[in-house]
Amino acid sequence: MSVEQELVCWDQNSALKRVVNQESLLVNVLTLFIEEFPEHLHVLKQSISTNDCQQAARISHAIKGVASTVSGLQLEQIAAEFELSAKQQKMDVLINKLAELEQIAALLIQQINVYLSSKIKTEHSSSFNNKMWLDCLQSLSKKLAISEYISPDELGILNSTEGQTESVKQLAKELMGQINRFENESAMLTIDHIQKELNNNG
Amino acid sequence: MVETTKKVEKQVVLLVDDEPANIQVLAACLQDFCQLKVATSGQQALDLALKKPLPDLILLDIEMQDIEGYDVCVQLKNNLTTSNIPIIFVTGKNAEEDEEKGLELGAVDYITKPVSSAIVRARVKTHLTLKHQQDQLKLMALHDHLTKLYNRHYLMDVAEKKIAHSKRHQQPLSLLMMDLDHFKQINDTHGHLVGDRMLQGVAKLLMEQSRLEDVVARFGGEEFVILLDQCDLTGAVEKAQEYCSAVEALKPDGVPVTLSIGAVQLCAEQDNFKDFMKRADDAVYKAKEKGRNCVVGET
Repeated sequence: MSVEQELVCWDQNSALKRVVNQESLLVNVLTLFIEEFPEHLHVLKQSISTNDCQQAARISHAIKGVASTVSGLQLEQIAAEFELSAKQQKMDVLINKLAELEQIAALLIQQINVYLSSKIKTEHSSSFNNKMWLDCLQSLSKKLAISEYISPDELGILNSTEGQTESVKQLAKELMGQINRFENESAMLTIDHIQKELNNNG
Repeated sequence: MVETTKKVEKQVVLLVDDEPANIQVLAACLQDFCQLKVATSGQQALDLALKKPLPDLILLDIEMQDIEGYDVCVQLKNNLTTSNIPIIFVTGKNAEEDEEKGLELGAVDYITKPVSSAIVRARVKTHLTLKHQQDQLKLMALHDHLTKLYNRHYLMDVAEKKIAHSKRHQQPLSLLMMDLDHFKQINDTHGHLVGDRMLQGVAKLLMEQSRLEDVVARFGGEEFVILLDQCDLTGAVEKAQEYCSAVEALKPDGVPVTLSIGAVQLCAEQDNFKDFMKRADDAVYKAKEKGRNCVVGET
């Protein structure tokens, strides 16, 4: 317990160093973590309630991995403990420590959210015409078709929705999420929708 | 520091992890010097490893929901097309026996999470440099310098193996022999530089229009050979006609050029590549006799 107390909940500097000091990428990684964590926690709770050691070990391993990726040191440590206990079929450890894990995760998410709210830019003031949007969508589509990586910097135009309809704004937001989560097929469908909307809007 | 991986075209690295956040971190480390492809499952990794642009290196997670990284590694190593792609495991499994297992399965390196960007960059650069050097050596030994197609030496080596395989499994194997029409005249009229560019243009077209498993080779001056796996004579003639039309439409440097093609299918009684080639050569001769820019298929 004493070692655990020495660890900081979130080591922001180490997280930033891991993404080669690129803040836009860190924002992206942290956003993904915040989005995906509830599902991980849900699976963990489910595996505890059904006493599924294998599933509990697998999901604890996954939580340990993403926690280490974002430098959530305390969460990484407790998830490692969960993984080991689940492998040893000591599910009582997981039952007893679940509340602690949730508390650590809540604190981590809170600290990350404070950071994100200071970094996430509001809608860009510059506006792009439909031709620029269509060019950008076409280039994204080409990359998605061969599963090429698309960096958050390439999605800038999708943030600049000034002058676009509500429907396009909503679709652009969905598209950014899908690209960041590598859901390529859904992303390509969303691009089709946006292209149709833009063409209809002239 | 020497920039060892500075090339005209970026090398391709396939990132495989079922946690998007982990992929984003790896991408942040590598995106300035690699072209990155992404797979979020073992099966997708196996599919993408076979699709162009082919990866020069794979960064592979171990614990994934569908197929474990270890199994993905085994399958990649067992496939001739992907067996020489180096694999680095990037994983949260940090026990010594896990690392030992990964390396025994043929991975070139093993990195544990959380990753350090400097270490990932350095190791990836090292393995990309080694891969590039290996590719260059292979390219020089097995390819024609001008057109970058396989050379005669490679063709003869691989053809004997394909013939044996085709006979053993009773699968059809066909061969196309192609000769550029009036190439000497084109060289004499327009010069060797135009002639060389023409050979390069035709070679590029043949490559682009062929399947990954076909062997496309430059056999001699203006002669090309294509081995078509699991393809009978009818299929081979159809394919040859497509090449003919495509080359006719090409007009490199504005100079019209056509192909005469002989198509043959391997017969059960034929033993060797020499006889197979002789029949294809006779068929090309007939195509020339027929007035060129055509295909003659011989049974």
